[in-house]
Amino acid sequence: MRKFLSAFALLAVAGLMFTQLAAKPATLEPLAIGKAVPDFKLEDQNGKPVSLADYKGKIVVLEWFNEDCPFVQKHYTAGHMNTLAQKYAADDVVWIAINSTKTATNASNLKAATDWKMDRPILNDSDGNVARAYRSKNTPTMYVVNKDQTLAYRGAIDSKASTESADIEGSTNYVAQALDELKAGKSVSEPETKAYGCSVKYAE
Amino acid sequence: MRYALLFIGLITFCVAGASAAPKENPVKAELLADMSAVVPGATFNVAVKFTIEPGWHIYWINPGDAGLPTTVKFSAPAGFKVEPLGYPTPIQFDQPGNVVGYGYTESLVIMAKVTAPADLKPGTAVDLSADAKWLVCKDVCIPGKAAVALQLKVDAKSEKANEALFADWSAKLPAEAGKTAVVTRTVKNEDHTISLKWQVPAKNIEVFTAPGNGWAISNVQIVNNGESAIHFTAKPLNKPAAAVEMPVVVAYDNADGQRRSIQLTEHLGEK
Repeated sequence: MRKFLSAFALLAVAGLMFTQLAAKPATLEPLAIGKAVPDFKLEDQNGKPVSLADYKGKIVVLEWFNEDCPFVQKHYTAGHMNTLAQKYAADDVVWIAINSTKTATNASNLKAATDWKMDRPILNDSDGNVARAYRSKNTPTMYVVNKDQTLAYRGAIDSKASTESADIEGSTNYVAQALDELKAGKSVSEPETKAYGCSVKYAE
Repeated sequence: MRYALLFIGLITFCVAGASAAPKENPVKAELLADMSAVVPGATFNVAVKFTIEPGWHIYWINPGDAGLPTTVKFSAPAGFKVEPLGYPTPIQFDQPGNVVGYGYTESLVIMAKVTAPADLKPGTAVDLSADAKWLVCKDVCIPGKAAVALQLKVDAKSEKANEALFADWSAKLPAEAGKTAVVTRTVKNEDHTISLKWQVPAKNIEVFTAPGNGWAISNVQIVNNGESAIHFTAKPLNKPAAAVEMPVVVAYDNADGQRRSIQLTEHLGEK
């Protein structure tokens, strides 16, 4: 009986050895809608520290940014992103860009803000820690944070994955849709979409 | 009337180049045929060949976490039939920050089968063309596009051309499961399992899914234990999500160590 058992155990071990696990991408779950988002403290383009907790009580938009990415350029060359940020600033919505590109510096963010007339913070996350905490994979990836700092929206800026500004007209802007619905006291109808864009150029 | 078929076009257009980007696009495209001339009524293949500079990559139909699909729209004169042959087996690139991409390095050939009308007149010429669009990435991403053309003579007979290239890339197209593997499926709520009983030697199994924008595929696992069991979770991003027939490409090394693949279809959502 014992012999039989040990033979069986050997077979089981051999079976395990031949069982091979492969291809395990995306082990980290994305941030959950309705749950608290991670806080952060980063420097803006002028070296001033900005933390998310400073904006409790306000709706906050987080925009993952890289001025060299053609998908980001799509929304800046014709001024669309600034127009959107300014429109919702009138509703007391705070709009913060975060640059997690490994080569980003406060100086490069200041230059981008000047070149593109961005009158809002571009935060320096060049070590990628905040991007990792938010599971950001693309520029742009957009997040809308509720007044209680829970997540209201995560994903693409709009419904047309392309690098061409001409595609903006006629596409659904998911961030504007979420902000409009929140303002009207509704729940966000499409809280999750697949972000499109360049990869975040993470530090290794 | 012109035949304009193939991959749903996501439009890419060169915006003002990024400072770090090279002046020349790192991708070159050209249009090739596997015959030296067009024989009236005959079927032949055309292809857009992309040559990619070292270190750069372009993308599959599902680019993965970032990027854009490479697209080709073939055109031929009225009376020609053009049937696109799809995307060759991609490779996976793992980038820092757990960013997974699917696509191609070095080169990519996207083919179409062309059937000429029977009433072509020998001695005339046929103009074939294709619009190709891509996003090429390394440390930066650069959109690119090219309109490529090829003129072939109409003749009563023709010689083979670019034979090795067409043979290599035809072999890289996903095949029907056919005699390669016996496929069974189970679905329990959001958890899908595709079991493959291989009928040929198959090593280094990889899976590529193309769920589109409404669905997220996660927790992909491949258990190889003589047979291969592919597990994944399919979740609609927002409910209700439209049902889709999702292409699943399973790549493997055959007995000769060549990379091959089969294509399956997985149903997601309400029947």
